[in-house]
Amino acid sequence: MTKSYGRFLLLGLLLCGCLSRSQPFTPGVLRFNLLTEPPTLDWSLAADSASIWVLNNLMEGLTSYDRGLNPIPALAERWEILEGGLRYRFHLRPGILWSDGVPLRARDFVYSWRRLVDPRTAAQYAYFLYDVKNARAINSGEIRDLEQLGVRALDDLTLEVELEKPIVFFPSITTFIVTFPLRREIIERWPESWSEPEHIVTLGPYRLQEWHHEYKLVLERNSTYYGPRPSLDRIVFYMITEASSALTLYETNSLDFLPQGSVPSVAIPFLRGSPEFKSFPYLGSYYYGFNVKKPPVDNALVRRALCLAVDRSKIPEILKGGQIPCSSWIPQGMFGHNPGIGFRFDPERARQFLAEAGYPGGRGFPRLTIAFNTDEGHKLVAQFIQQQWREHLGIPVELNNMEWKVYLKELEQDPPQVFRMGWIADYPDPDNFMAIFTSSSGNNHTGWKSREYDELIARAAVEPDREKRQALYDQAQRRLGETEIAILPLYTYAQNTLHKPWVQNYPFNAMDLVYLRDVRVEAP
Amino acid sequence: MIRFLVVRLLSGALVVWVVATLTFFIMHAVPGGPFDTEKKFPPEIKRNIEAKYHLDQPVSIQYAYYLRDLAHLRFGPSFKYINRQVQDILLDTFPVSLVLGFWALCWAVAVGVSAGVVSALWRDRALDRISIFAATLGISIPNFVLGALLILILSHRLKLLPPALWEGWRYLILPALTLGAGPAAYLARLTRSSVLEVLEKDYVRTARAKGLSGFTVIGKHVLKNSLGPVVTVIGPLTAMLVTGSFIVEKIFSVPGMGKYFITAVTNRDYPLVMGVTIVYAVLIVLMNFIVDLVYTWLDPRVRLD
Repeated sequence: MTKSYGRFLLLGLLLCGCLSRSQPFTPGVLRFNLLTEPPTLDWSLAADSASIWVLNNLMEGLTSYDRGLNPIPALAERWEILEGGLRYRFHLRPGILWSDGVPLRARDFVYSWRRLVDPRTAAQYAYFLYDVKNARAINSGEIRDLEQLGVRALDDLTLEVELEKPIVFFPSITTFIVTFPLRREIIERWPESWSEPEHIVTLGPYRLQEWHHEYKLVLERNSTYYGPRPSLDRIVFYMITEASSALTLYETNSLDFLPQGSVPSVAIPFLRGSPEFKSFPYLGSYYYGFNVKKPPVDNALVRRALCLAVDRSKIPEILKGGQIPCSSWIPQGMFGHNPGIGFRFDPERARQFLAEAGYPGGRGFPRLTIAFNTDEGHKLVAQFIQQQWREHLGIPVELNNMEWKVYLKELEQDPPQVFRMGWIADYPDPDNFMAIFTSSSGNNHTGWKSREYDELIARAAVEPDREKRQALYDQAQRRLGETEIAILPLYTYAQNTLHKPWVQNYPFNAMDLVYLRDVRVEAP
Repeated sequence: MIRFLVVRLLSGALVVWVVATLTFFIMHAVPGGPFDTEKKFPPEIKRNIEAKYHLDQPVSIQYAYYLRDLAHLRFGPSFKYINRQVQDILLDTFPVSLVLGFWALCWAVAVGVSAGVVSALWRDRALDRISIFAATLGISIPNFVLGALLILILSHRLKLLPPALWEGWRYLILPALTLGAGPAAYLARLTRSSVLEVLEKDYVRTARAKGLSGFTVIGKHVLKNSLGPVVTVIGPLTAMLVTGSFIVEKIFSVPGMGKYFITAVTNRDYPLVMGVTIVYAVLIVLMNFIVDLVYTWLDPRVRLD
């Protein structure tokens, strides 16, 4: 219903040509659509993009990202890698102050990390630290002594971390909010409300001034910030869930920035060409998974035929959101991406494989169902795939959509023959994408298990040499999408944003990270 | 009167308990849990989370916890909004929906009842036809279309009112107009048919025969006696309007509680589902009670006991 509203309003806007300029901007004040209420600002418990967007401006971690998404020093001015990568020693910058004037100490990290893996905290992202010694055992209750966690403060400015294995992407892990330091005394004093504006203590470029739940969050410049002076005086995060309403507010100059997810897809074709519109890749991929235990997709020849019969190049025309067709799993823009892997559209070969599988011309092919969660975009993709398989292979395909949580339960308990899924990067390393199809991964709904694949992923995670690492991921991707075929990668996501000309120096990046420290709002 | 109050209080409590219990068990029977997410986390993490919220306990035990909390007027912590109690969420958002619903109701009643009376008194004349046309439009046009139209005309074209947000009384007008349009149209049609029916009554003819002025006949005899069906509708209508609307709040970015009737269910946020359901049930019971009181004023033959 709200989609209908969006289309109706958008049509009206376009017909009226109403790109009004009724309200001027305020220099130094950024009005940003957060889309939704952050479920929490407790950074040990946050697990959603709205919370993460806000927290990345209130807090910092040991490391941060540069514009190329490489980890760079942040609260840690440098780090040493010891014992072949099994031990990291972080040296904190001296003189960093929390917003209440208390100096940052290494023990603030120790407390935060112990709290994260403490089973009583029940943090969703506790597994981010599972490569730290004893983290998983503590989180699962096998070890009850939190002091057994492989992190300790050598002194006020030195933090040492002991790992279970020498993972090469650990400095990327420490960019993530759940690893940020915490003040024990603040949390123990206000356990339920420490993250509300009246109690919260932070050390990032901005501080929380106001939180009008379900409506807006206001941040102001943090005068005790250790780094360069933040450019903005204030940031107002509005929580506007309806994309068409956000566009209306943008057009009437009540919002300065619409991030990914806030620009109505129906408006994108009309916005292309505008200097305010920006579309760029997102480290996320969309795929169709095969349940390799269910006929007829238990037959690798059938899966091969299905993969070859899809002309992905038509997807951007259908979805109109700047999606980038891809045949391999690791997305464009990430180390390990190899566009040469995967099946290209070849209907002739597809028919040959189907005939080899025992279904010449699609004759006798059993009933095949594509399952997806209810959503207009997923429906369009499913209808497209249905049409492709019918046209090129002559097989009948049924569609089955389900409410989101029902769909997730179905994937967990009885994965359908063919199902849609996607993955968005938690950190910009191929391990984050490839590990989800290992045998023990809860995100692998395909039923496909390969010891060789598992070994490749485990070796790649600790391989410091980039060329060798690339080769390992190439081999693994070929198994996943070419030889054993558990998935059919379809496209890499795109981010579509709108920003006013007076919003300058915005750090657009492929992970949709919102770092506003250096953003300026001033006359162009 | 006291007996009436006691009986209504007890029956109201029973109704709320039945609604709360049914909602609790239906919600738990729906497939999918609150912590089923696209990115699945390791099983030990799911166990930790379920233990934190007692979801690892049998449903009967969870129900006992739920009733215990309810007896203390608590709904428990939200599963979605971490560290926030459901009663705090409702205390933040319900006043917003209440204000919006109140003004929507005010204009719906004022315009709807007036239009219905005028329409009935000038039956089959131009005013009546205009009123019927407007009421039919009001009922037929979905509020998301009306909301968009109002934004286009009053915000974009005429630049009279802000298109969305919640920063003061000017921001209230468009959502209140949108929210109240359907009820206003419905009340207009209801009032018209009710007034027409009363106008045919013998006592109205008698009053006119006695030489009473048209104003007195309408004000004293027709209007009061035709309001019964309208009042009956206004009770649940009030409960519906003051608890917010998912669509209207979404279109105009109003931070009310209406959205939770949908999002709490899709998130499987059981305590929040319970919270909004119980608030709605209590309001329905309360409004029906008030309607019963108003009946006694409208019609002295109605006795509370």
